[in-house]
Amino acid sequence: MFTLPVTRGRLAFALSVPALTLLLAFVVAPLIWIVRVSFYEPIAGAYMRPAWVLDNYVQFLGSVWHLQNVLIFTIEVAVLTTILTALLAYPLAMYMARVEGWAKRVLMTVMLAPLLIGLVSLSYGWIVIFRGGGVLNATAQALGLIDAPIQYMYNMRGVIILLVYIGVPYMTLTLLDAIERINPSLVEAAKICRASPWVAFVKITLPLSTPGLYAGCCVVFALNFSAFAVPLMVGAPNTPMIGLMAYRQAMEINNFPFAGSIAIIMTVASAVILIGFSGVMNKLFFTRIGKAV
Amino acid sequence: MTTPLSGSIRIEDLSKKYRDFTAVEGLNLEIRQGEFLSLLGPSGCGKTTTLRMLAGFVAPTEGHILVGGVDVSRLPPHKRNIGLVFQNYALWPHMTVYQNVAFGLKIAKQPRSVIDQKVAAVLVLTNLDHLADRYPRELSGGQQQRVALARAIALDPPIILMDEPLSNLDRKLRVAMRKEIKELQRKIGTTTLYVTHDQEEALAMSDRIAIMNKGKLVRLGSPSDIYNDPRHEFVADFMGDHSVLEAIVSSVRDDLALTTTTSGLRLEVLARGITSIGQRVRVHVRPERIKLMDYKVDEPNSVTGSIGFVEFLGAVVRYSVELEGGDILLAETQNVGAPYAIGDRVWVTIAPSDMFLFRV
Repeated sequence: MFTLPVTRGRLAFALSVPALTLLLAFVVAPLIWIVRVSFYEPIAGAYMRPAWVLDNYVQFLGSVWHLQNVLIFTIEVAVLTTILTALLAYPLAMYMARVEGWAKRVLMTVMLAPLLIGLVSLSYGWIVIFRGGGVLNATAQALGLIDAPIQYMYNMRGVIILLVYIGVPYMTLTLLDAIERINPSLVEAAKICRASPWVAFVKITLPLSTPGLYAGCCVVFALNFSAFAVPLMVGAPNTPMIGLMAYRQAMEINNFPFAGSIAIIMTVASAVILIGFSGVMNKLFFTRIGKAV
Repeated sequence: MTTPLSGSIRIEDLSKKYRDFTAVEGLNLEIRQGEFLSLLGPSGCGKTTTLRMLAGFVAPTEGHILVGGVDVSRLPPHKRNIGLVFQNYALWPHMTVYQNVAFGLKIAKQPRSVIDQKVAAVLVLTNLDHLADRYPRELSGGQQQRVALARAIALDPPIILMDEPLSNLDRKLRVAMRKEIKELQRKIGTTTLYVTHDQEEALAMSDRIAIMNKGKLVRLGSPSDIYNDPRHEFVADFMGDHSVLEAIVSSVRDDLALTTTTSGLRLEVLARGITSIGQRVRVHVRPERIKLMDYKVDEPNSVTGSIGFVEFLGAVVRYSVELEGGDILLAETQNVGAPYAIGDRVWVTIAPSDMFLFRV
């Protein structure tokens, strides 16, 4: 009888071996391989040669064009889309925190459906709606709202719209969790202390939901900063987003060492930005909210 | 400063109906300037809904609420100039004690010096001045309770509502805090509506008590009025433990009714309006109104019995007394002299005015 917990621990470990193996085989091992390859020497027109050279990093970090037009540009896109996503998701999360019963289930289903459908079908559906002669432009023109079709596809406009659209469910879910944790009497207490609904929101709901806002921003930023499928499908052919660039170097140009260095730079940049963000949030909000939320 | 509104409340025909449930029905109640009035009743009786309608969180289905003669029934909470102490305190976890208390004053755009002065004064009044920089999670339950109180009075509202503010505290602290709240209320003279389900709390603190049941006001009066003359069986039940005997009125003389319990015990009881002979009634007897003696005395309602159980509670001793016919009475005596033991033979005496008759 006394050995039961140990037996259970062993059993739990045994059962988690397949998942751990998958993680090791398809996440950790490739990552190690990418780090190693990023120091290889690429051979134009051929493949690459094992070596320990910094050329691939210098090629990216030593070029003003790469730094400004790829790294900074991608950061700007990711920050912009994260902010837009938060602005769209917050009211939705507030509303969902308020409704109950079947209305909430319907909203949840509608919100999560895109995650189940898959990015490729979604993007092609979007292309049908948004392209120059697509449904949206045709309708707007027929209604006389616009004179000429607005181009949403194969430029940054489409990339940003689609990234925001994909980010909204993630952001809404984390925000909803944070908002639902706020005791309604905290907002009532603000109102009885003369705060208008807007002031009560700014002074109570918003600061108390920052943990959810923070988590949602981290997820959406990390996804969008490394995005390659969306710019590949709806962006211009030469969209200089860093994830797409790494993909192209690896899959189209066959320059694995350079693709590896871009991937490593991307990962490090993302980590640095998120750590910096968490530091700022900690200083501004979390130390004060503490464990009470 | 806040406008000097009178702190009287008038509730007129107030109702709150939900689709399949009436929470409050036709409530009429007047609360005087400076009064401490408790809304007392079991859970679901409508007392909290009434408080939430006064605060503006729940819109009444019918009726009006007048504060200082002004109809506030349709005003949003932030325009009502009312203080509220929540059951769970509802302190803002991301603000210090100082910031919690100063919140309303900052919204009222008071100058910094006025805010500092006012908050300092309120914190002294509530014995919190040494805790101004603490966060709520760093405070004990009683301290959090006092912050909630300080926050409610900081804006000098003419009215303060309290929603079972002591129900989350342990008994000792609850008794201490109810004295503290009552003294504070007396000092600042703010009209207070206090919602509770604890009859002891209501009796100890209130100028008047309004007892509610199933959405309606059942009885309104001072604590001693209500305790000594409950008028409704519900009120008598709610006011504490007592024995209930089923009986029939066998004769009525002047204002005394002679009743016979199902076991044949004959009791003379103040009739309180019951005149019909043969009327089935329930006789309520409060344990502390029963006199226990070792010998028979020449008074009405003197019967003999034996002690069934003994509960020694310290200040008082509780007995159950099995009367000759089989009726059982709960009796409570001060802890003076040697208590009775199980099986002791005693004489029970109850004055006719110390029992309540209710029609069945």
